[in-house]
Amino acid sequence: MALGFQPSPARPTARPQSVWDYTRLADADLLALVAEDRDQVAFEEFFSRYSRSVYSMMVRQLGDAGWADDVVQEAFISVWRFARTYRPERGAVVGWLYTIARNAGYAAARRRQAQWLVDAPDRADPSPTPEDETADKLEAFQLHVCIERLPQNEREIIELAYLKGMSQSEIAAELRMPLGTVKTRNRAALLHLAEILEQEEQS
Amino acid sequence: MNEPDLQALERRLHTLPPLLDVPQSLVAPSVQAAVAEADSPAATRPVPRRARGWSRRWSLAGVVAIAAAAAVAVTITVTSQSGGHPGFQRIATLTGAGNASGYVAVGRADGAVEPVVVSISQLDPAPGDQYYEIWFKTGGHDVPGVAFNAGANGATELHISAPTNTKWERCWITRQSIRDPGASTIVMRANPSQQST
Repeated sequence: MALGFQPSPARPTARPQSVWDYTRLADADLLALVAEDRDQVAFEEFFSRYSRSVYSMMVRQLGDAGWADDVVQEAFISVWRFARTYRPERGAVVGWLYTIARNAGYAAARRRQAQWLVDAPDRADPSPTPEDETADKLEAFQLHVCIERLPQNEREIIELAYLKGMSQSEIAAELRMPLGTVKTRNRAALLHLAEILEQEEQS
Repeated sequence: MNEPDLQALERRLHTLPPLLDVPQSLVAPSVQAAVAEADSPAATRPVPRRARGWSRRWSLAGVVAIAAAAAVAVTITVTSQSGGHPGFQRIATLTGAGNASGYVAVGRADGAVEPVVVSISQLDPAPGDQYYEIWFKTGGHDVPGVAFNAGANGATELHISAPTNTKWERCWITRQSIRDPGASTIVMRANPSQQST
């Protein structure tokens, strides 16, 4: 990725005064603080928002948790280095970060002389094309990011119900709550997630 | 969103791979490594204006304002007990300077309140003019919990009646100065945990 000599993204007008101010900043504002001020607290907040999604993506793609550790680290080093290259007008932070993480994965795979993505299949092959796979992976990454934005009690339900495939009865037992409460929370969490997804798409 | 759209979302979620927890070892080191590596003399980026680690200053006025805005009732006691906590779910581990470590365990919620135990070990006792304070998130706000100190053996245990759904996986502990309330340093942070006590 080329660094270029472009102006960095605009800094937030009000400089954060405390740790919790950072938790309320938009992703783009955090990147602006990293780019302009080399602000480590902003970087830590950005890391806490996205590390789980990036790590999950890397483990899935590389198939090696230990290796993924290293590549996640490299991806966030790139975030620190290239925060200045983020352009809000070109799209949301999620897509920018996905590109950085994917490139870190490619670079790691090249170093090991391994293939991260499969070779382009024969066109008669009904399996997804590399472009389809990339789109699917980006969509999965975006969904993971949106799930991470849910409050803890809603995220927990979504993860257990859909990502871990537990039944609502099993969730009720796991969380020690009435089945009716699980159903209600599941519904509320889904609606909230849909709302977050819609906001992300609009951005 | 209409029902068919929700059902489509559900179908998509069922095909989504699980979100994995970041290994505890990755959390802080990756941040520190990123800063160290990217700002090494060989790197192309300029050296940061300051390198503060986890330290951060904030104003006491801000602390009070946030605490008041959150308007939550928190009852906390500090004891020197240790050991397991049957029926409690360990939801976060605490790591920090030196060998300081600990965990946060949450019991069964009673309405809007849930019992929480924060157990800490190997935390150096704060000097005479300083103390520790635990912070947590609730309702989107960061709330100061309680001032405490570690015993001579570095151990302490906080028993808290906290609002349910508090984001303990992102709590942190600061060392504060009595003489300068605006000065504080983060000494421990929480990481998600899957263990049970």
